[in-house]
Amino acid sequence: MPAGEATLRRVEGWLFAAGDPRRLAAVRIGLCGLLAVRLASGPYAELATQPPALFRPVSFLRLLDRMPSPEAVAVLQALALSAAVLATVGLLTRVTLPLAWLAALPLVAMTSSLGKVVHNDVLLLLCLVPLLPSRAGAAWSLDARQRPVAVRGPLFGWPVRTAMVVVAGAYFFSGLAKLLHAGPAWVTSGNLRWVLYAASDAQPRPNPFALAVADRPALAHLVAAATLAVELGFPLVLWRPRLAWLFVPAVLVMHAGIGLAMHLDYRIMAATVLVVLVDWPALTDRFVPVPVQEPP
Amino acid sequence: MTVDRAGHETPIPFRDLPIGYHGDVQILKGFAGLPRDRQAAVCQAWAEAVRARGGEVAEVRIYQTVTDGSRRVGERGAPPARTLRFTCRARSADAGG
Repeated sequence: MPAGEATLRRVEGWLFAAGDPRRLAAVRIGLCGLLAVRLASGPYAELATQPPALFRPVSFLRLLDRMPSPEAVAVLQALALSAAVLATVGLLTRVTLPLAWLAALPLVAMTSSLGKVVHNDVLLLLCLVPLLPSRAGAAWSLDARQRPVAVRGPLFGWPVRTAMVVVAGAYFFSGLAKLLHAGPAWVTSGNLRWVLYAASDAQPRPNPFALAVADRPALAHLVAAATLAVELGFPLVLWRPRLAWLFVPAVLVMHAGIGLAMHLDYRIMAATVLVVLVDWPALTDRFVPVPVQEPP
Repeated sequence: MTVDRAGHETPIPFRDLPIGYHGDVQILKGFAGLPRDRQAAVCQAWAEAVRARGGEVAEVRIYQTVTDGSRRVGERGAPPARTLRFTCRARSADAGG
């Protein structure tokens, strides 16, 4: 068998291996919960009042010549939020999850209609894609109460692993883009210092976190190198799941740092990483042991 | 910048305006390539937002700025070099500077 085909088979074997229905359920609960939070708190009603002259869509909203009307946004938001809450608790999951995703899509696109893509929600929406056709409501759901207990099987593994690939890809390609755009100079030049100075200067008051790094060239190079290493190295968690203990906290620290220094809010993205990469059933089993029935 | 009738310039406080106005950087990047009526509409939208906050706007001026991030004055960057590129008055945008 040629080496390429063998590799492909190994990848397929990994992707479509059996999975725990509770892990898929945990990802459903986490991601749909995050989507519900985002839908409840997003600035969609405010965006709907934007003057048409300032409308700068970057995706399919280019089909419109202005933001959707406040009335349309209110209906979409209510529909998407209700469906997301129902999908979180697992009621009619096969319907409510795709409905929540579809209704959320134009709302999230509105936040990216100011001339640039808002990355914060993109990872959440992409990670939800493999769950849309899956049996995500087979465990830890209201739907599951009326069905036989779902057992480990191939139907429950691939959606979670695909979401893991999406997360790993998001960080890897962020790192790769930096390398392709700037090359090693992204680390070795003063790039990060100038970015942090500009971020601080754009804020009403000088930002002590940004200046603490920008004022120290060696520290700025170190932070830049660490950022690139974490982003490019993130796919290693797919190969060695235990490395998630290193890379997941690392990206959480990275997002926290970006939030403190640049006031860019990546909380939803960071939470998505946590939901997808942590094996929640394994954690639950460790802290709340399942009682074993003694034979009679 | 908005300019009142006495000629005083005031920066448009984009970050304090509703979120629909926060794409100012992206709009300004492509402003030169917009048709004149769309340039005027953008200026009009910004002027109305400032007026809604109680500001007086006789015209809107758009400057091109060049910032050298390495030049620092205390904890702030040195003021950028600026060139007047556009002046918008009552439904028109004229090249300036």
